[in-house]
Amino acid sequence: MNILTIPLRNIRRKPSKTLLLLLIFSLGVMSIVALYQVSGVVGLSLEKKLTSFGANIIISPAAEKLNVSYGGFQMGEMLFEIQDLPEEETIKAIRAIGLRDRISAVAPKLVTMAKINDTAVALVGVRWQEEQGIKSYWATDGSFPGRPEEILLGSRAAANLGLGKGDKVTLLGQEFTISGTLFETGTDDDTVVLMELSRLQSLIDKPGATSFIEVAALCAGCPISEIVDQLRAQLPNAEIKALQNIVNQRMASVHFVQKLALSISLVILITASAMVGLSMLSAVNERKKDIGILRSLGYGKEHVFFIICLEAGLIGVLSGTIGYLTGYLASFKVLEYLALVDGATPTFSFVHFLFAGLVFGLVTVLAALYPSWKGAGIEPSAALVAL
Amino acid sequence: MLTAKNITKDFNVSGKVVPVLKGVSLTVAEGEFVAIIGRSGSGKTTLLNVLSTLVKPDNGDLHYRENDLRALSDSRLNTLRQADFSVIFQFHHLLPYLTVLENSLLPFMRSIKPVRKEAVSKARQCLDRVGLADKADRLPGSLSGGEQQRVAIARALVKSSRVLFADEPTGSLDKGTGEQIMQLLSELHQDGLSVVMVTHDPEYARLAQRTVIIEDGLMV
Repeated sequence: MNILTIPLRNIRRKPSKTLLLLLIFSLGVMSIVALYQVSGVVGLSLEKKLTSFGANIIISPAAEKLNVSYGGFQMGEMLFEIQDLPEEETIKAIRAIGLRDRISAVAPKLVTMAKINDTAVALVGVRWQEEQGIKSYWATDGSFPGRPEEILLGSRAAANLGLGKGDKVTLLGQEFTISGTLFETGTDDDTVVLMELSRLQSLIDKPGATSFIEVAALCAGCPISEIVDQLRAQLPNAEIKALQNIVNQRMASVHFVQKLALSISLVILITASAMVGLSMLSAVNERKKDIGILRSLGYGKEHVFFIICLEAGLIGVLSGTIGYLTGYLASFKVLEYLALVDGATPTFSFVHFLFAGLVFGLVTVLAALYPSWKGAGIEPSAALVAL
Repeated sequence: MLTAKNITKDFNVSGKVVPVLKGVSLTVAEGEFVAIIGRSGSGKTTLLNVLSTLVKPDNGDLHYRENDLRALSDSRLNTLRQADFSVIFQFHHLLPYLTVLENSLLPFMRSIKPVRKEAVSKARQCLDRVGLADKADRLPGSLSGGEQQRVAIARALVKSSRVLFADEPTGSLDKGTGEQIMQLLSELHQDGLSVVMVTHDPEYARLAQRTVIIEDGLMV
C-alpha cells in the first residue's frame, strides 16, 4: 500500500469508464502505430520501385588526373593508371557492408571502343538482369538479348549506323545479331551498343573486369553518406560517388509519405489527448469529495496533483502498449488490403513497444496537467462543500 | 492546546456576502471533550472546519500549542492534519474504492514508500477495537453507516491523533448505532484524545465535558 494504490483502485472503481477511455486512447495509438508501420513499408516499397529508375551510387576505379601541357601544346586532362575493377571481388565487397540490406541492385559495366562498319562506337557490357532491374524505363522495338551473340543498340547509335532489329554485324571480329533498338531514353544509353558483360570480357581479354559499377541503394532510414562511407571502407582503391540529386528526389517521395502519416498521427494524438484531458477534467469535478477527504487527512496539493497525473499516466502506458501491439497486427491487414506488401513487412521492435508505453504515458500526463492542476488547487473548504 | 479568538468568516453566496462566524472564541484544553451545539445554519460546522484548519478564517487568532495556525505554510498545515488532527464527517467520508484497512491507513499512503508493517498491524488492532476486524478487506459500500463511521474513528486511532473533530458523527445513523459511536468517542476521550464534536442533539452533548452553544455565528 502506497500512493499508487489510490489511482490504481480508482481506475478499477469505474471499469466501464476506464475501459472506454482505454479503448479510445488505444484506438488512437493503434492508428498511429499502424500508420507508422504502413508508411514505413510503403516508403520502402516506393523506394524499391524508384530504384528501378536508375542507380544512385557509382563505383569506379580510382584514377589520377593530370593536366598536361608541353611546348605550348595543350594535351588536356590525362588519366593516369586507369585500372578496371574486379567484378566478383567488388560486388562481394559491396554486399558485405554493414548496411547491405539497403543495397537494392548492383549493376557492373565494362566499357570499350569498337568499330561497326568502320564507324567507332562505344561498347558497353552489362548484366542484363541487373541492368533491367535499375532501368525499368527501357523499352525496345525488338527484344532484350537472350543469348551472348545478341546485342542491343541505343536509339542514336542505331540511327548513326543505319542498323536495326534483326541485322547482323561484326564486332571485335565476331558476328552478332541485333535483337532490338532501345527507344530514346534521353541518357547516355542512346549512344552506345550494349552486350552481355561476360561476352565482352572474353572478347577484349579482360575476364572478370568492369569499368564501373552502378549501385541502387535504399536511403529511407539511413543517409546515403553512411552507405558511401561504408563502401569506401570496403573499397579503398575505388572512387565512390553518390548521385545526390537522384537521392534527394527519391527521398522527397518517401518523405512525403512519411510526413503525411506523421501529420495524420498528430491529429489523432491531439484528438485522443484532448479526450483524455476532458475526461480527467470531468473526473476532477466528480471527485471533489475524494479530494476533500485526502486534504483533510494531510494530503498536499502536490499529492493530489500526483494522484491525478498518475491515473492518466497509467491509462496512457496501458493504451500505449495495447495500441502498439494492435497497431502492429493491424498494419498487416492494412497492407494486405491495400496490396502493398511487396516483400517488405512491418517490424516488431521491443524497444519501440516500451517506447510507445512511455511516450503515450507521458502524453496522457501532459493532457492531464491542467485537470491535475485544477484538482490540486481545490481548497479543502471548497471540497468540503461536496461532502 | 487549541485556541480560537474573535474568529470571523464570511461566505459569498450568489454574489452576496453572508457572515457565518461573527467573532467566535473557544479554547480546547489537552484531553478535553467539547461539544458544540446549535441549530442548523448557526455556524457550528464552519467553526469546526476553521478549528480543524480545513477552512481559513477571515479574521481572528487561531493557535494550536505554540503554532499560529493562520501563519503556517500549506505544507506545515498538511503535516498537522496528517499527524495531529482527525476529522470525521456526518456522511460518507471514506474513499469508496479502497478497502476498510486501506481507508484506515490512508494518512500513511502519501508517498511511494509502502506503508510500514507496524502501521498495518496497528490498523488491524484499531479496526479490532472498533469491532471491524473481520471486515478489513471489505469496501465501504458494503458496510452500514455506523460501520463506516467506525472506520473513520479507527483511522484517527491508527495515526494517534491528538484532536478528533467530529461533525455530527451520529447525524446519519439510527439511535442504537449513534449510541455505539458516542460510546466509542467517550472511550477514546478517556484514553486521552481531545474531542471537539458538533451536534444538534443535547443528549449526545451531555457526554462531553463541556458544551458550548453557537447561535447565528456567535457564542451564547
